[in-house]
Amino acid sequence: MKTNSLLAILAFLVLQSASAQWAQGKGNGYFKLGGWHLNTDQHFSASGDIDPNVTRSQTFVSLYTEYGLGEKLDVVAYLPFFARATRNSVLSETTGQEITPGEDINSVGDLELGLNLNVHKSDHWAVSTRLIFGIPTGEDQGGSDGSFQTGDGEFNQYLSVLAGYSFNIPNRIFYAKAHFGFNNRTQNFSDELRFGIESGLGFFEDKVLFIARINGVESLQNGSLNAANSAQGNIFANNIEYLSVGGELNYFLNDNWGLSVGVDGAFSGRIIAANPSFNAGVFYKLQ
Amino acid sequence: MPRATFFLLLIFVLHSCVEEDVLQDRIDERLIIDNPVSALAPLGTHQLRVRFFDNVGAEGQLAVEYSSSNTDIARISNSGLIEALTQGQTTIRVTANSPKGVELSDSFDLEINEEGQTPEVQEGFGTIRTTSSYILEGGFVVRELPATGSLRIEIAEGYRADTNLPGLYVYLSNNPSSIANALEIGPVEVFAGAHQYTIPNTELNDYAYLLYWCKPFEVKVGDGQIETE
Repeated sequence: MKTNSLLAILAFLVLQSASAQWAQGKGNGYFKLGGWHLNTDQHFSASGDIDPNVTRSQTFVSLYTEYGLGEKLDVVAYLPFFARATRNSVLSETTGQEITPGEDINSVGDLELGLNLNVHKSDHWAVSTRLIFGIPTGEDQGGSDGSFQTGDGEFNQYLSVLAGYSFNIPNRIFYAKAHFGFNNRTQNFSDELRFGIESGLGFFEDKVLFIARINGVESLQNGSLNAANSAQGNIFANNIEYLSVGGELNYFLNDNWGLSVGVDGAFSGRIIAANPSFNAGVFYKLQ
Repeated sequence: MPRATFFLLLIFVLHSCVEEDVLQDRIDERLIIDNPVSALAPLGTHQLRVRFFDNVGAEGQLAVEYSSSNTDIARISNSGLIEALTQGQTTIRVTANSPKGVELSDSFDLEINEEGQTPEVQEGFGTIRTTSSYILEGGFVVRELPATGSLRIEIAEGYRADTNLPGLYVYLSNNPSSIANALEIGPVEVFAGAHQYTIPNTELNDYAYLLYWCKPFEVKVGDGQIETE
């Protein structure tokens, strides 16, 4: 299911700027203060079927930054400075009495830091490669049973390639892009392949940008961590797989400021929540 | 812009409050004779114990009535004391009306003969089945250990549980849907093959189900009814 730190991947992916494959350029930047929230009462089990669970929630409030150190080189940072995980209490339908109490924790999430290097740029095409380090600053064993996680407790390195194509059709912008990467995980977690495609189309003189996307994670199943050999909480974050679909609306208040709202949800997967997540943010383009 | 940002963050935080889920945990009320006896010698006696479990599996008190189908063979007092009279066979029955107005009963056949009561090993058995999409299966036997007052659950060789199951715990419960009033045996540490649990100060009829519960998700993933006949 789940309310777990690996969902931060999705939070990280959906907070990237639409132009992530184009370098920002020296002194330019993209900054987004965003929130990401998931409320889930069912999950894709290990077999890929959907099973019920007590309602849990996960919330991240973060700052996402791309800043141009040079014309082709950006620093990328995802700073989830507030993370919250909750589990509902369970009441007896028959007696109304509480069977298990609810619980919550507040913490920070896992920090993501890295570099984005533009390796090709033409009028319409841009290709970049990106190396992101996942710093385990979040809580990986929180709560009374260790299952309240805002991080996975491992240091990972994610190397990816992003390719994008954009052009102006009459009176509106259009772009399409794809990303593919390898996530090297430690602490006996399985490594992962991550991939996705995204397309954006401008409306109302490009004051509104509608984005549609599909993201996926495929576990290489090469990590030994499981329920038989680990603390009970950790396995939440291992061997997660999913394909998710999402959409987002960006509204440009002016040349610099804008608002965004979006929704994403897995339509197939293993060991991941089977409910949609919601995100919203305020972004600023420094140019 | 600061106001919009503050409002945005407030919405996210407010949507992550701890709320309440409701568990469907209603079951049939149950009346059982805790210590039936198959045989008694003439003039022998045996004090019955009767237990009542309500519609969530919690044990409670209930006024009961006892009867013998043949009072020439054996009779039973209002307090449940059986007196064997002469050789023959009778059926001992206990009945009660539950607080919900349901008529409950339990019974057993009693033979009065010269050999009388012989020590009986209290034993149960069952099959673990998954109630989720996670693999969970196996057979088990439950034995009372009179010398220690303990109960031993022996899980058979064919048992296996999905190693992707997070926070899997095993309980003894009288409600197959709930861990309220249940006895937590402990976290599942064996995911394949034979193993056993010894539970002190517990008798066979104290619980009716072996329950496999995923704690982080507060949901049942499997159970096994303890059969005694």
